[in-house]
Amino acid sequence: MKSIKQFPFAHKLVFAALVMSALLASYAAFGGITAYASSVPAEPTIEVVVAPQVAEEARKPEANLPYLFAVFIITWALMFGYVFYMSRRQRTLRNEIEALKSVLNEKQGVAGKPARAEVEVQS
Amino acid sequence: MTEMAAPSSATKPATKGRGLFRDGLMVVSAALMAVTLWMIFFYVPTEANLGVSQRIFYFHVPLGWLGMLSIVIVAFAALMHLKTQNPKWDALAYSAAEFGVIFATLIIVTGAIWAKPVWGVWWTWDAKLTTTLILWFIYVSYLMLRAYGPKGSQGSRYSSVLALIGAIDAPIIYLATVWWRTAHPELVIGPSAESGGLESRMQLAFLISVITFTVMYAYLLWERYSLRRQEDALDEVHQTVSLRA
Repeated sequence: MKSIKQFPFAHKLVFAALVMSALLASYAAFGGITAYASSVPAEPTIEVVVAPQVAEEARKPEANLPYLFAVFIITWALMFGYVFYMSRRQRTLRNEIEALKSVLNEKQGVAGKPARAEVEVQS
Repeated sequence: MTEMAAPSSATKPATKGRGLFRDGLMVVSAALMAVTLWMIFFYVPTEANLGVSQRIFYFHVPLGWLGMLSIVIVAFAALMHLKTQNPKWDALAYSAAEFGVIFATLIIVTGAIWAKPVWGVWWTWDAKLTTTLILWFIYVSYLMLRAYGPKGSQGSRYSSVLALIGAIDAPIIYLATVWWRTAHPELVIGPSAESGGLESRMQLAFLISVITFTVMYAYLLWERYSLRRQEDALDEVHQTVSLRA
């Protein structure tokens, strides 16, 4: 059985997929959300200065859905982008380690010593 | 010729334990995120004045908390690095600074998106917003100094000093709404926050959201820190190999 250490970012991708699916499922059910929300009278919560020209518009439950959607998309896009950046860095490190190993093994082989080169890499 | 040692068998159980804990953090943060999203979209009522856009709050404020937490970690690690010269602290400071850039960017972007439907403008030179933008510049300058400044211990010392100076901005951001007249909402988190400002379901969803993001942050920071340590170790190996070649 292959260890997850052989796929250093596999578990991170699973994490990303879990979060994304939860997000999409939530967004897919948005119709239900606004219906539920409009049926529940809510108290004002935090004191926010609301511009008069946009106050009426803001009170409509469905008025600002694109803004909410944009926030979630941008947040997750940036987070996933960073996770992929880390993944690429990790892959580059592994390649460098492999290159170093082969150079060292080659040189040690020429010198007649037993080849042994290993670097501890945390997954 | 350099011979790199295989991992000691004595350290393997500890490494395995750490790996399990890290995987546990990942699972817990994923599960908590699912709960948080459910609460944000299905559990909390819609705020009467702000409408649906108020749900941005459950992402915006935890991201702000993590941006502040990052600068505190960067400053603490920088201080410890200056004191002990231990490269582990420097690696932690660097990792937290990278997350600081990401979270500071997200605070500004999500704040701007929220400001548009509520204030009618994407950006205003409000005290809270401006000091947060300054925090973003501090993080970016820290990383630029690491990338383009002196290499080695000198570079890490310079950036540690910069991180300590930058940390002064954290309490200024937090107390901006207290010290200055500002359009930004009052504090909802921390010692100076007004209690009882949120409806009970909103308060619970907010609390869960803050915990979720904090757990996820811990997991991601751990990953980045491990990666940074490996990068440092590999740099050392490269230097050794090039010196001996």
